[in-house]
Amino acid sequence: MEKGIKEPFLEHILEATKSVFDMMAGLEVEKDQVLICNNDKVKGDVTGVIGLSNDKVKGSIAISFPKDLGKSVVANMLSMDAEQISDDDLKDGIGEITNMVAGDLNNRIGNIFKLSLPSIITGKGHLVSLSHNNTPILFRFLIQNQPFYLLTTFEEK
Amino acid sequence: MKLLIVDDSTTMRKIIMRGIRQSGFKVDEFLEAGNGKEALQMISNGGVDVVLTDINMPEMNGLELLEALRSSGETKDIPVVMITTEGSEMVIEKAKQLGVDGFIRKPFTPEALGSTLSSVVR
Repeated sequence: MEKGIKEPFLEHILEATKSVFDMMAGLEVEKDQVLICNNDKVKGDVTGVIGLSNDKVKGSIAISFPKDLGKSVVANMLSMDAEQISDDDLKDGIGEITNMVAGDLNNRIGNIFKLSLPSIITGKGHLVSLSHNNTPILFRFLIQNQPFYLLTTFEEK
Repeated sequence: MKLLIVDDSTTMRKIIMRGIRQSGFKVDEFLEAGNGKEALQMISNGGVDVVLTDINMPEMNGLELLEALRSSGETKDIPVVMITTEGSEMVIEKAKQLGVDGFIRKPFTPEALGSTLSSVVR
């Protein structure tokens, strides 16, 4: 599909994402689109970013939500109402989701990567971009018809 | 049953508590710590029946906590379950060598929490 990322790997990302949302929040995630994203077009309100690397390859995964959907997801994880979710809960929860998607992906491919600690970016409509040489792959997912995005890119060191 | 949850994420601690309640595993009191050092302080007060800990944490990680517990006569028999995204064989082997009682991999189901805790509580 793309020089840096092979199609079976993308399938693992898809399955890891579905699994985390299903098991941790009881939410069904639908894949809407997968794009090779030449330009950084993704905007979000809260984004978790995590690095994956080994001796030969390094990459990143960013998962970005509009604030209302992010709060709904975290509320589901905690069995609370979205109105009860504080900004700190939101950041912490999206960080955990990012960590678990990357961890579940890593488990599915034989734990070949070391994971960084996730970092969280907040701010209404911020631009999400990953600083690698290869073109990122963009997943557009839907939860109850509301979109969120997963952006990933990998390259050889 | 007094259960200590050790994780640097407050959200994850809440999720774990919710999952344990949903699983039906009976806990009388939940205690929470943000890292291994805090956990050791709480355990030194006595009464903790089982520890459920993350591995990657600041200050003192889950493996260091496990090692500290197993090296003290007063705490060496407390069951410890590790709950983590970490899946590397090296880390799992290290935890087994140190005497971990169980593993739960994130993401997890309430059933996985309940069955693992039931299997390690004597």
